[in-house]
Amino acid sequence: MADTQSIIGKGAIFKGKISNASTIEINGRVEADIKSEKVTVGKQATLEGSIVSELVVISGNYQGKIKADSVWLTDSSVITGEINYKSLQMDRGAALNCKIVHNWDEKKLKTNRNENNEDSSE
Amino acid sequence: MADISYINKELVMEGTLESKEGQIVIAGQFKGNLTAKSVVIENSAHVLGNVNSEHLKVEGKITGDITADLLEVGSSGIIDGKLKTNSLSVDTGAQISGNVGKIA
Repeated sequence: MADTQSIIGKGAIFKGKISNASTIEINGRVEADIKSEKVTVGKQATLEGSIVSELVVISGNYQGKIKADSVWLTDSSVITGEINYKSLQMDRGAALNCKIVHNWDEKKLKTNRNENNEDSSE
Repeated sequence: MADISYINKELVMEGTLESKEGQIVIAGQFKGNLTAKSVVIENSAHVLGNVNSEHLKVEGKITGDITADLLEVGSSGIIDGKLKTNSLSVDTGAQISGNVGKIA
């Protein structure tokens, strides 16, 4: 919704920290850690930094660590770093050079690991 | 079309934002330096830091130094800092504290 959307326009350069965003669209160059409900990185855009969000759509260049429920990487996306997701969509042509982890819930991951360890010690 | 960056209400940003050819509209909170061809500080906005722009319109609050070729301060504008401008307009109700000078 336009009421809650923030935009970093084409040609804009931002370095720093973004928080409390509900919907943010990036069409420029951003070096920032973002906490948001929805993040969109446009085709011409470059984003460096971590994302914590419910929904992430990337069509541009991204470098960093994503933690999101839903991730959509379109055909023009270039990703380096790490993706922690619950549901992932990748279009043909997406370029990924990264680690991909499903169900990134850290507590669950830890308990899973502990259970596995116990199993192996028995 | 000019490239617009829009920082919505609620949003909190910290850092430097630059858009030499475009416009920046701030309605949220911004801490740091702003540089753009055109800057609009809306009613709900609070900017802590310096603003550099050719055309600056202030309806919100700025704490920091301003350099703007053309500076318009609306009736709800609050500025605390040094102003450097070649053309200044201030509406009734605006609150400004600081120096006003020409751009050298």
